[in-house]
Amino acid sequence: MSDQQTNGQALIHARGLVKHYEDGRVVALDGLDLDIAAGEFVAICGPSGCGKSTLLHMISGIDRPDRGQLMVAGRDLATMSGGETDHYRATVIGLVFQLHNLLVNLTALENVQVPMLTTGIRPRERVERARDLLDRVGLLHRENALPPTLSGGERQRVAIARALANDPRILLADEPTGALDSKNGERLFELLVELQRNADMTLVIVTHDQHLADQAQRVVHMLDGRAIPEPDATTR
Amino acid sequence: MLTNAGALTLLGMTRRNLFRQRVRTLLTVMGVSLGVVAIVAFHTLMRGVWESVEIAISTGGADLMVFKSGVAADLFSILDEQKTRDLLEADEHVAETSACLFHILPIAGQPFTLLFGLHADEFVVRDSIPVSGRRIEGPDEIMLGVIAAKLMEKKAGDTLIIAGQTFTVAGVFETEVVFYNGGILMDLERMQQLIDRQGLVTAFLVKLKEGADRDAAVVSIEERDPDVVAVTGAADYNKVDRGLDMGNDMVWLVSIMAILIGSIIVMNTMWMSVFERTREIGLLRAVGWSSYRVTAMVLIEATFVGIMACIVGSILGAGLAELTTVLPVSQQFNSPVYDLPPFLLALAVAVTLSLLGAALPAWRATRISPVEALRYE
Repeated sequence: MSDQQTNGQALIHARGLVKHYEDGRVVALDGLDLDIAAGEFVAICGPSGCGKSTLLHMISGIDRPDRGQLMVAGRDLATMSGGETDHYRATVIGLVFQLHNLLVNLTALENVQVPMLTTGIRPRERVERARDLLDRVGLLHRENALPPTLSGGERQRVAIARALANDPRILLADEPTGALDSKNGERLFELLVELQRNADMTLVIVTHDQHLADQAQRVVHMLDGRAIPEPDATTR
Repeated sequence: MLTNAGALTLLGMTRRNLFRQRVRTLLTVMGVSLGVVAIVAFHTLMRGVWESVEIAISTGGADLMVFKSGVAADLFSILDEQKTRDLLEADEHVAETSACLFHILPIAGQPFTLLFGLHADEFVVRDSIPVSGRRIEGPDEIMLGVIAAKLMEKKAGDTLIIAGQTFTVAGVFETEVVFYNGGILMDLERMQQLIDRQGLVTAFLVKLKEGADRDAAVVSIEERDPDVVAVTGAADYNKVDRGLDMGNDMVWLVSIMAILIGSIIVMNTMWMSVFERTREIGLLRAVGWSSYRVTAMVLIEATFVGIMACIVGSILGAGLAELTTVLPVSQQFNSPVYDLPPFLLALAVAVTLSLLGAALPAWRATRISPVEALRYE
């Protein structure tokens, strides 16, 4: 299923996205069009600086395009107020970064609860939910460990559990295996795929790794801030 | 069974943030506590002075004191004893009077000893109860306040040289007025001779008739003789002595200076803290924390600092005030009063200045862009 084939009910619908940095000297996105359906697993590939991470930032609501339209779950992100965007980030989106970005003074269990503080979940439920998520990523036995005592792979799994804290519809992962060795990277990728299938989430992964990208339902190639149209794009 | 154990809270996060940099937090707390020390120490001492003045005016059940008007301080008040007594006894409100003469002399190695003269047969002496020995009965007898007796190491039966003349200690007394406890009581006429003030006194303690209106008595006395003022308590003591007001002003001045310093220290600490956590704050924003929540986190951290500073500063401030009751000179005049208002004031000031100091860093935290913060190393 190519971008052009996706119908108007796409969960993520981007048209003509433009984003410049450094007073226009750097063009991150240059009229990008993209549709991603609900429950789809999409890998975004491309060379460094092609705008992959910028696209993820746009979809996650932590950055805004200079021009163009970005609709997610039927809402135009440009029209959302600050409070609505915060709520969107907390409840619709789960974010996994290349670096784990855990809070070093909180335990694994507490790190997973960080996004839940915004949604009014009761403390007991927060703990139970965080434990369940750590169990799902195979780290329940490390719930009281502080990030510096965890391996790189373990930290990234905690970060995935945190991203799933508020049961998001969309999981965005920006080079999630980039800081891991190939073995750990492979296992982490398998975990993401498994979680996506079980939770029926939409998973969008930015990766340089073609081998990992090939496991996605669809691969979107980007170059110079645009998605490259590929009539024979990988579709599963 | 579901439990709260392991539950993350905003308060818990802020506590962790503070304890992450223990030394810096401790130094900040100490910095802010300087302001609290100043407030607690000076205010408890001033309240002690205030209370002593209140009690001194009601010595022996007196309702008011009469001084010379237009003087800079109470000790500079000079009244003609007979003329003033006649004036007061002619007033319809007045039941009884007791003349007092105050002076400060270096005595027995104590550089500032309050000497006060009273007529032995007047109500102030008559109603006082010595803790040891007896009341004065003759012109060459004196009574020592408990603090003076301790500092001068004298007891009933001992002799003491005052201005080159020898007096016998008849007894030791104790009152609720700390500067009386640090002083020496002697016969008024003998004291007038001793300091060459024959026929002159500093003030009169006045008992009013039962049912007499005190405010009306004040107006009546002051109208009879514009050269005198009548004071009923610490609140109107500034009619004869601006010392209390000046003391209060100084206390506030020092407190404000300490508060400003503390506020700048908090600002520096919180600014550093926010700066160091740019990436973390960006992450919190990225996972859906609102700018209000981030602001709350910074302000709660500052509040914790304020509360800790209040506790530390209150202990140190009370200790400093208590020190004045041990030092030889100051214990003759100071007795801090540890009631709630200075500590509530200290808490309010510590928390307020911490919040003020954190306001700018908190604002900066809200300006952090998640995208830029996540790129920040």
